[in-house]
Amino acid sequence: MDLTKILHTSAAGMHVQGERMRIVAENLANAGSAANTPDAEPYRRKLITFSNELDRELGVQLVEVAKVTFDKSEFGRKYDPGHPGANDQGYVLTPNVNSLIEMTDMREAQRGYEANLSIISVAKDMLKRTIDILN
Amino acid sequence: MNLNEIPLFRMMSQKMEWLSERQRLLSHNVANANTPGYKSQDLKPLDFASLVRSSAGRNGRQTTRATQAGHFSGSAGVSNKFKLKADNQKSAESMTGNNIVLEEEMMKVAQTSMEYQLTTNLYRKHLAIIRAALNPPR
Repeated sequence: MDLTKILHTSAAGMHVQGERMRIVAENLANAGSAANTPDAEPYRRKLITFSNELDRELGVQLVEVAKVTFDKSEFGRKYDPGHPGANDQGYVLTPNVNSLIEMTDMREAQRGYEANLSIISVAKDMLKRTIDILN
Repeated sequence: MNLNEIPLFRMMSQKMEWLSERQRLLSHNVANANTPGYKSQDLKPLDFASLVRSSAGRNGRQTTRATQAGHFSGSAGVSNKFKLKADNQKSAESMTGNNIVLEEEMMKVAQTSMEYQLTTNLYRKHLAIIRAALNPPR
């Protein structure tokens, strides 16, 4: 039945937004993880992409996490000669995480999550109305 | 007694089927609000004239059918009963090629839900009429 498929579709949507939230949290938590040795890399920002996959059992396409990749943009540099990760010139590589971008990403994930959630409640309402025809 | 023999009931159940199919597509859109390259999907409005025509005579339309266990419906799982509407809003397309506008989808969801409510209420009213005919008040 279509209405029960909606629940699966939206649940999959909520799941991927949750995963996205997890990646955002990971990025934000590591926003200060600079390199510990001069030749090591600091934390590299993670990116998440989604794709559709046909669920043969349900016969519907569900959204799922396609892959988690790394942001290839350049690291920041900070002058801190006393840091264990500082190079000869006294510079430390800092993660390529921009907390502002992460925050907007987080809001978008939240918005998507809420939209899926309200679809579930609408679908549930429609199912209930169909059952209510009985009485 | 088969309720679908009554044209009005057949029309209403068809409408409900269309509405739930549309709701499914919309939920698919919302779930894919951040999928790169995903394009918004919608159904063509249910044609009232064809609804009347099909309920007036015997419905002899042919649709594809799953006759084996291995069969499954097409790419987006859309039943071929209702027609997909090509939706090409270029303006809303983001850099990833996704053209979902969450607000618009939510509006459509609310509208579909309201129409569904209307149809189910009508259905119940007509059932009540039949019930009233079965046991007249004394």
